Amino acid sequence: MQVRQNTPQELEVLKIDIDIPWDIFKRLKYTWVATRRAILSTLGYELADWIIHRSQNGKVHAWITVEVRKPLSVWEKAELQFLLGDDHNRSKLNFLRAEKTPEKFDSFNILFSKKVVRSEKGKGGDN
Amino acid sequence: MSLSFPLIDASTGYEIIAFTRRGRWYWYLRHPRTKRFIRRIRELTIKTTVTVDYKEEMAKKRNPLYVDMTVATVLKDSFEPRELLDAETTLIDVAHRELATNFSSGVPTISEVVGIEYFSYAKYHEYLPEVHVEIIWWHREGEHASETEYTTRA
Repeated sequence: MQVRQNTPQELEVLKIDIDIPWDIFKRLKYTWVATRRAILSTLGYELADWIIHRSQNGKVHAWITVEVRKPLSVWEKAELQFLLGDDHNRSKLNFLRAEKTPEKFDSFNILFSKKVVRSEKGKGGDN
Repeated sequence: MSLSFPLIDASTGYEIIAFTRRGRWYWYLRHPRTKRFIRRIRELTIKTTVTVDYKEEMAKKRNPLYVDMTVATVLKDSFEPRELLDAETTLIDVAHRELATNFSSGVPTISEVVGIEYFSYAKYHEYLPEVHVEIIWWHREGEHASETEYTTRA
């Protein structure tokens, strides 16, 4: 990913799934936000807003709003979400989707509002 | 299934709250930290996601399959929470029906309804009982993926 200087004009929301228990995460919450700010700054972006929720099965979902000069491509979104600490299994699928069906990327870049059935396959990715 | 408030807007992480006044339901979008009201919600999209991950080691005839499917619909102003729950059940039924239609009758049995998203705007043009279906699938990771998108009725 290229480091770039931008004149922020638009906002992009990145969705981060963090696969650790909320009780552990909440102790690190503000440090986590500060380090996300640092990562984005290194890449030439600016953190505009952040929202963090406890997910339905006790883990963590984060929405990171970033100021960008021009809309991010789906590949850039997949890269940024990975670099911001997104669950690796989810990142792998996002990279596959970005590569195979880029026009459908946003439809499947999901953080569930409600989990219906917990995966029994032990594949991580508490979306 | 049940609803636990506030709901979360899947595109922003904002809270979706609901209350009644004089027998009518009102839905609002609110920032979870500042509690600032952002706007009234007049249309709400519900989207359910179903996946099939039939891996090579599970596939007896060496026909692995990966499917991502979403089924979505939009509810209009002043709907009740009960209608939201009914719509979720309807979407899951449609997802199983469409999986059977697009693949084979056994595929719904290996599918997993993984979750539901709420959006505080009309993300699609399909209002219940119309639903919007999107499917992408591939057989092996290196292969080209196929996709389809259409409208059907619940």
